Amino acid sequence: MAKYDSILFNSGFAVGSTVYDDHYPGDDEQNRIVLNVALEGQKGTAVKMIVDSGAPWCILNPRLLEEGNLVSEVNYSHTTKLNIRGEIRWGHLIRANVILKAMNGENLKVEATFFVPFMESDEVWNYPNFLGLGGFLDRIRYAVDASENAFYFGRF
Amino acid sequence: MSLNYSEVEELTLNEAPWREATRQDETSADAQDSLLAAIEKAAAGEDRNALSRLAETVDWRSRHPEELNHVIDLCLFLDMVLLARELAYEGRRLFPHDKRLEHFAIVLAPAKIIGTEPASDIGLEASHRWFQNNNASQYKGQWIAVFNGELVGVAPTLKELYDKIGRDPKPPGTIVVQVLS
Repeated sequence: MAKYDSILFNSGFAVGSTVYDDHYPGDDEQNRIVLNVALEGQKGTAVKMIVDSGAPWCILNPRLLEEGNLVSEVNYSHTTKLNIRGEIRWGHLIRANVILKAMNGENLKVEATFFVPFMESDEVWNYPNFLGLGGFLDRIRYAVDASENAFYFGRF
Repeated sequence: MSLNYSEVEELTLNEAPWREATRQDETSADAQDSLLAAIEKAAAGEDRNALSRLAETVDWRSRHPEELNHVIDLCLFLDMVLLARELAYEGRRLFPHDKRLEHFAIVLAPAKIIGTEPASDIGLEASHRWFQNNNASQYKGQWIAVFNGELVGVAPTLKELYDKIGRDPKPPGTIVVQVLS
């Protein structure tokens, strides 16, 4: 149980909390806030996603789209090109249902928009998954307690 | 949306590419064409402020939906999500039969909370500790699966990983990730 669970749950600020990883797997250099997020249609599994309030978009590894069935009930994807960290990429904008996984309290299920880049069949996508401000973080409540790697989240 | 000249003046920056365009009668087709050309220039120069002001100045009722679609594309490319959303909503209202604008309005809608559910994941904390205590970097470029604090699969592709761990739905708490290389 995280230190402020009672206060934040009882006040209605948060519905769940979790302990975040400091690093995305394979990237030991950069400190991050990495959460476990389930993608509806992805065989019940969760993936790692970086919380990035500086990112305008949520971005998903394209292989997850290929192997899963991520498109939500809205069942729509849209083709466009975005500038991903200086690199121009074409891809889909999709609506998908994702679940922020709680270790305490409740999970939070959100319908959100993700950019999923197009890839050649032999191309390797070597970037993390991101939860960006646009289409996700700007629609939930969240708080971070770095003293115990606690991430609290809720709805408004 | 249209502006009167004094409002346009307030928006004007010296040497801004759209200054000349907005000096004309913005209800005229020529002026609207000039505004669209100025939007292109602003986008090419990554001048987000100018693009935003110009896009709000255009009378979209008098334009083709393809033009609005194009400007939304420009906004997205410049990470101007809020303006893209605003234009998509406007486009859906003005051109209800345009599929692309309709789709833009759907995918650019704000995130929506569906609800909450009891956390039922098995061993999420144990799996968190696995990532803390084990050097995932030894699997660089590989896809790995961790469940209840144990590594349950490693493969070079996600497809092969699912071939290994099974394609049936997994117990909640199974974490799948590609280790960055």
